[in-house]
Amino acid sequence: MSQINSSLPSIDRLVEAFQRLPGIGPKSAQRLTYHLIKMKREESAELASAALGIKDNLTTCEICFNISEKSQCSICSDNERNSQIICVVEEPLNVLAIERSKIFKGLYHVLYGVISPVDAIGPDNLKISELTQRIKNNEIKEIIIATNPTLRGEATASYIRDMVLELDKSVEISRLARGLPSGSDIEYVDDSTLVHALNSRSSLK
Amino acid sequence: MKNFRQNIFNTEALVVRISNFGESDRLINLITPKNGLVRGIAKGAKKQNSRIGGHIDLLKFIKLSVKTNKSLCTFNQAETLNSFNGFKNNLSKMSRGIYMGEIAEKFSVEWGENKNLFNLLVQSLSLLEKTTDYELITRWYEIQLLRISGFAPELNICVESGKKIDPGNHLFSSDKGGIVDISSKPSDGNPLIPAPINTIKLLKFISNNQWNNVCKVKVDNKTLDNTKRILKDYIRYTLGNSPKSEYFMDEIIQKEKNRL
Ligand SMILES: [Zn+2]
Repeated sequence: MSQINSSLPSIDRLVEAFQRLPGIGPKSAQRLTYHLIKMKREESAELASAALGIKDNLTTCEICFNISEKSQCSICSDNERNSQIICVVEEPLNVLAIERSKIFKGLYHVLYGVISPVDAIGPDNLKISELTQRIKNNEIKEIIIATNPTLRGEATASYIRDMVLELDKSVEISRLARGLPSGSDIEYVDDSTLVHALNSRSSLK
Repeated sequence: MKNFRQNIFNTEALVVRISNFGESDRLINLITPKNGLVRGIAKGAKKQNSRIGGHIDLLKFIKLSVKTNKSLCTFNQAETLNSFNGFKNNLSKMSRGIYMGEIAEKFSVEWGENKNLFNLLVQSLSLLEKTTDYELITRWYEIQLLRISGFAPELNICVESGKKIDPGNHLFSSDKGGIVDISSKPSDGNPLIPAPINTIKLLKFISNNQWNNVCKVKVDNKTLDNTKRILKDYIRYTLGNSPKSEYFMDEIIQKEKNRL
């Protein structure tokens, strides 16, 4: 990655900051920075305060660990939703993707990753024991495991299945159907594929 | 360094490491027969319409096109040769398979041709897919991998005294790389591991035989545990540290034992 230096420190500082964002290379960072120079002061202030706002006002939901502004997220505190069904996902962004499909009316559980033994990420590094506690302390009828259709996603799904079966054999366990292309990422799957995958989910028992 | 100047080449490969990179790319480590360990990037592999993404996943046996570059290669036009579907829903197999991939990667050299290592890994994963002898196949794989990589443990001659090892209970030294005769005075070094007569017999047998012979032998759990202890310690010593996936594999083995 070549560093383009403007010899103006305040510009270089912002270019560098943009480059730390995913998918932003030196050229895009420079383009964004020069766009900001042209913006009105109030617009820049709004951008800066919004960026700080997500740091100051956001927390994780104490039930599902999704990103939230309150101790319980809007999904967990919605009485209309079915609290007996939990959909287990890898990342908060996956909640957004499944919510977009509008067909799932249960609650979520965000793991923050998948089991990846080669990277020394095991079950203890994910929110799996928290899921165990949720199942123990609440009346749960079904767990839908919506980890990605990758080997590590499958390993995580199998691990959770074994854990749930040890805990309570009456809980239904299912996995998103194979409408999902293998090796893909739920974040990028289109809504209709996701609807199909949810509707034709298969039992893991 | 063979083939490094080559700009684009096609190869068979086994995916041993994968991680997300940027918004939709994936960083991948492959083991190939002629080019050893190859590291590179699959652009857009996370996206649903990616032509390569569906073929690239951990422990997939694939064929793909590699474009070499000064730093990172880029991967294109992949097709799946075997995705080892027998691992699906089976943590015992997945955890051992991931471990096999990790130590193969650790014993591989970037751009270093090693057809035997590649073939051993592909063969062992397809055997693992079908067998229920998870522990024995893992030991067989470990000792074959050590042998191919030039680290075969010395099982016939005492690594301390140079004398022929007679049948009996002896010891194993990881830093000397072999059996120490019980009667010889060991020099200072890492602690020696007990190597009972049956353990030495099993080590020799799995070292000298192909799986179609090895799978027929009946081994008691104690001998299998001793063999595992020796190979685990010797691999840790040879690599300089323990493979990371060992911890998860051992957790799954513990769960298997609890279920019995
Ligand atoms: Zn919540």
